[in-house]
Amino acid sequence: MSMDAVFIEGKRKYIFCSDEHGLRVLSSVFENVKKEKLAYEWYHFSAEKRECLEEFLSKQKMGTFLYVELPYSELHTVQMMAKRIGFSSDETQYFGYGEKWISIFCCRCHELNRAEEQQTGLTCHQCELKLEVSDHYSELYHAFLGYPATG
Amino acid sequence: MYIEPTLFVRVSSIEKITKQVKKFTLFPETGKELPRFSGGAHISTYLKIPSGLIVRQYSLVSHPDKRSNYEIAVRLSENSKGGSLHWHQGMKVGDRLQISYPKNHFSLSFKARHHVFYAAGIGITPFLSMMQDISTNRQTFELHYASKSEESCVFHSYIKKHYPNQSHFYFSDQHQRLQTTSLANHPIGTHVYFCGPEGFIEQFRTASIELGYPILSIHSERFSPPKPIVLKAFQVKIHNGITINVSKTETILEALHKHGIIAPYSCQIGRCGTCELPVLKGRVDHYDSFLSDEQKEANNCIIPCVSRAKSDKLVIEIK
Ligand code: FES
Ligand SMILES: [Zn+2]
Repeated sequence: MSMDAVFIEGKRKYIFCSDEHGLRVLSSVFENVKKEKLAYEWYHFSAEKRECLEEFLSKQKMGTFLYVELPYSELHTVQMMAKRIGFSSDETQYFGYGEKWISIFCCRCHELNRAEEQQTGLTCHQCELKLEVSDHYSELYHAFLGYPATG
Repeated sequence: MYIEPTLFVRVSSIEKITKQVKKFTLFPETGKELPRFSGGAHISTYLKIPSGLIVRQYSLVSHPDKRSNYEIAVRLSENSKGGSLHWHQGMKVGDRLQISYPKNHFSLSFKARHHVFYAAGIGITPFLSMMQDISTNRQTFELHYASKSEESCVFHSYIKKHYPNQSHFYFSDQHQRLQTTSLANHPIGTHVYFCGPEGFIEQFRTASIELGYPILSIHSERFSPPKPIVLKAFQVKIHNGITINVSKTETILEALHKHGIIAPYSCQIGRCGTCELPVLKGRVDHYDSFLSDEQKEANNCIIPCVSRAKSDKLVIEIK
């Protein structure tokens, strides 16, 4: 994930996806797109409308470029969704803001726990099992799976 | 001359499938199974004829899982330098020849969500095995296939029967034209594949890039060498002192061979890299699809089966 949004030339359409706070990084690229009179669409994101976003992205055609700026808590989900739909890394730029945290799914009680992005272990706040953060991401729970910590 | 590792096969059947195209079935001489290949693969065939050895590349059109024999389809080209002419007129059932192991410069992308094939004429051949591979994997695809007429459309009835919902035919004698505008309709995650004459490939590649397709989503396969824009004669000096003239109509590789200089080669379309030679002096006009952009920029090697000289003279090294 790079820090600055970079304007990628030569696309037939640009999509900007963000919530009301996430306009900081994308605005310069957006100005560019407007100035060049290129086709674009803004998608105003809200967590409740995740399915709508999925439908919207699935309808896009080749030649579309996607810029996303969202809180870290949402960004990963959207990134996985876009990838599943078929947006490659050459057709997307993602920017996160706010607190960097991820969800951890407890393998014993199935509770979702919050953890910082770099965190490797935690204690489940419900059943108090010591968990190790795996790199298995569950699309279903939008969370990384937490396994019993060994040792 | 250089020959890559090969398999010995015999021709077990010859079938005329259109006016200009024959299908050849090749079975292994040893009776053992042939290697499995992946969709889009081709083989080099080595034909010994009185004037020398002819090397040609043909896509495998049989099912990738079928290992008892291979099938290729050969179109008799109007300006055949001997390859397709020999296949059509000289080849008999029972004849023996050498073929390379299957190679694939045109494989299906693992990342694609949907595959779209664009074929013109005999350019359909690599797509047959690709469609079979995809059907096994239950992925989705479309085929857009342009041909002069229904009679000259290679594998027309086979494709129509097996892929009725995925295939679209464009016959120019019925004023149907395959146009680049359909590139605008493919959903995100599509990979496009082009095979046919040089002009066809270029037209579709350019149109895809203009629409904003990422380069990695565009694939193409050529069976003929790219056509240089400027064709001029020049000289090649070999570092031991001999200077040879390369005329407008011949390649450096052909000129070297004409002068009895041993220079290895295989594909002759600038793709395999077998013929690469170091350049000591002079500017190269690169036409191959083998060297990277950095290597081309560095100007210290050449693919002599297709590339030419920008300067009047090139000095190359031959061991
Ligand atoms: S012979 Fe294959 S690149 Fe020249
Ligand atoms: Zn728990």
